[in-house]
Amino acid sequence: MSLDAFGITHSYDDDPVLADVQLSLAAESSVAIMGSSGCGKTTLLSVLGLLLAPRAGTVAFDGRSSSTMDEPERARLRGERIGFVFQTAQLVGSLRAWENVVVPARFRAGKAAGAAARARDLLDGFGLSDYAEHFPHQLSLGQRRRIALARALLLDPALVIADEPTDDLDADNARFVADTLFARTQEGGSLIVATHDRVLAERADAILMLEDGHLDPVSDT
Amino acid sequence: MWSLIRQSIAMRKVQSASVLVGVVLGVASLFALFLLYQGVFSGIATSISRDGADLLVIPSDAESSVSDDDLLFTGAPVTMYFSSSVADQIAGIDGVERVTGQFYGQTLDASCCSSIGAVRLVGYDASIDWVIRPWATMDGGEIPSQLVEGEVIIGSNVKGFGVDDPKVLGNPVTVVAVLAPTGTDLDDCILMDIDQVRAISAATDGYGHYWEKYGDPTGLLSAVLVSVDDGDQDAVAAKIEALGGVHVIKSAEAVKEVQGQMRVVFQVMLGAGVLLAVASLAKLFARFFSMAWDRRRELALYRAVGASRRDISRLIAGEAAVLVGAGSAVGLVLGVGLYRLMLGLLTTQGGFPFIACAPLVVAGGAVIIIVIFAIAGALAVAAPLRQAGRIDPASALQQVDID
Repeated sequence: MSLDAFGITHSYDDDPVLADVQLSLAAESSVAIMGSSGCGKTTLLSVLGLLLAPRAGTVAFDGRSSSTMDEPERARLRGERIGFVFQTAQLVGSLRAWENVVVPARFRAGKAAGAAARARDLLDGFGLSDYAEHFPHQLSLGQRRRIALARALLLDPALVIADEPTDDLDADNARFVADTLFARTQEGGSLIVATHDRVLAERADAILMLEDGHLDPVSDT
Repeated sequence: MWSLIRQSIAMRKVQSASVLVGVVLGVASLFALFLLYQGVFSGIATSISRDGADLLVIPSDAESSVSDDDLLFTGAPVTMYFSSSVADQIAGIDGVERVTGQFYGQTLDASCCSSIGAVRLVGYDASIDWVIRPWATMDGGEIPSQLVEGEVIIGSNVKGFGVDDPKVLGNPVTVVAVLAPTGTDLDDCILMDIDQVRAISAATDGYGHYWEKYGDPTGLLSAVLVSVDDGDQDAVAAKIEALGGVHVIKSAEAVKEVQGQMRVVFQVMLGAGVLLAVASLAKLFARFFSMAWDRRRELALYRAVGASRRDISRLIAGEAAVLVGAGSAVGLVLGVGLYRLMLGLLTTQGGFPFIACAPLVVAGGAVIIIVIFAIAGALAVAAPLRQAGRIDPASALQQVDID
C-alpha cells in the first residue's frame, strides 16, 4: 500500500508540532523517522495512521485521500490495512495473551473465525506458545512487546506503523522485533518506524529527520 | 465483540455482581408487587362487580371460629349451622329484598371423589339463588334453575372432574357448570342441590355430633345471604341481629375495609420496592457513568486497531444489556418466588379476595418491568457513550500501559 502525506500541519493549543510535512511511501518499502524526544514523531505517526486529524493537510492511501472517508471507513482502514506497534505494549490487562492478539479481529466482521488460530501461529512463531494463556501482568516486558507485535500483524496489514518498537528492549528482543518488522517489507508490506535507534533506522529504505516541525531526508540507505 | 463484553464483565467481578444483584432485586420486588397488586385488586374489583349479597348472616357461635373477612372473602365454608327458619324470619324483615340459604357440607378429597386436592361441598338452592349464578358459566346454554340429583357446579380451581365418570362420595355426578374465578374459597368448592348435600351430610360418619347439637340437617342452614332494598343496610342488619343467635356481616363495609388495608399494605410494599429499584438503578449508573473515562486507554486502543465509534458504543451498551438482561431474567424468576412468599404471608394475616393474574397480564407486567430497566440501562450508558465518542484513538500511542 502506498501512502502520501501532503502539507500535514498540527499544533497542540498554540504550540506547533508539525509544519507542512510531506511524506511519500511506496508499497513494499520502509521509512524511518528520527528526531529528538518530544519533536512530534508520535503525533506524525498518529496522523499517518489516521488516529489523529491534522489541523491542515491530508493523507492518501493508494491515492485516495482520507479526507474523503467517513469515520467508520477510517476505522475499517485502520483495522484491516494498518498494523500499529505502540511505544508501550498497550495490552488489555483483562485479556489473556492470545486474546490480546485477536483484539483487532473482534471488530472486523468475518475476521474473527480464523483469528484465534492465526494468533496461536504468530505466538508460536514468536516463541510464546507457552504463554498464550497468560495475562499481561504475568509476562516480561519483552514478551509483552512481542505479543503487541503479533497483534499488529494479525490481520496481515499492508502497512505497519511502529513507534519506538525496540525502546527499552534488550538486544535479543530488539533484534527479534526489528527482524520481524523489516521482514514484512520483503513480503509485500510497507513500514513506517519512528526510532531513536540509528542501527534500526539504517535498515529502512529511507531515513527522515523531524526537527522543528519539518520532515527532511537524512540519507538514502 | 461478545467475548470482549464477557471478558470485561468477568474482569470486574465485584462491580458486575453488584449491578447484577441490584437489578435482580429491583426486578424481583417490582414484579412480585405487580403480581400481588393485580391479584388482590382484581379480586376486590371482581367481588364488587358481581351481584353478590349485601349481608351475610351466620350463626353467632361461628364468630369464634372464623373471622368476618375469612367468611366473606375466602368464602371459608366452616361447619356451622342454625335453623332454616332463620331465613324465613329474615325474609319477613322490612327492607329485605330477597334471601337465599347455603348449607356447608364436608371436605372432599381424592380418597372419596374425583377431585384432586381438598374441596368443600356446598349446598345451595339454585331456584332462588342470585349469588352463585353470576359466577357460573356453562358451555352451550343457560345454567339450570334447579340442580337435580347428580348435577354439580364446580369452582374454577377444582380439578379431576374432566374424566369420563366423575364421582362424589362414590356417586356418579355430572358437571353442569364451572364457576369463573372468584378469588375466594368458592373456587375450591363443589356446589350441589342443598337437599342433596344435607342428605349426604346426614349420612356422613363423624358428623353425628353436629346433628345431635343442631338437630336434623334437613332443617338447617349454614349461612343466609341477604339482598337489601335500596335504603339503610345498617338498619336492616340491626333488625336481623335483633333476631338473636345470628351474626351479620356487611359486605360493602368489609370490602371497603379490606380495600383500605390492602392499599396501606401495598403503599408500604411499593415504597420498599421502589427504593430497591432506585438503588439498583443507582448502582447501574455508578457502574457505567465513569466507565468511559476509567477505560479510556483500553477504548482508545480498540479505536486505534479498528473499532469505530459505533463499535465502542456497542461494546458499552452490550455490557449494560448483558447485566440488565441477565439481571431481569433472574429477577423475574425470583419475583415469582417472592410473590408466592408474600402472598402466603398476606394470607396468614387475613382473608381477602384474590384472583391470580392471567398469563397475558403476567407477561405484560414482565415486559413493562423489563422495559423500565432497559430504559434505565440506556440512560445509564448515555453519558459513557457520549464520552466514548470523544475518546481520542491517538492516546493509545501514549506511553502508558493499560490497566
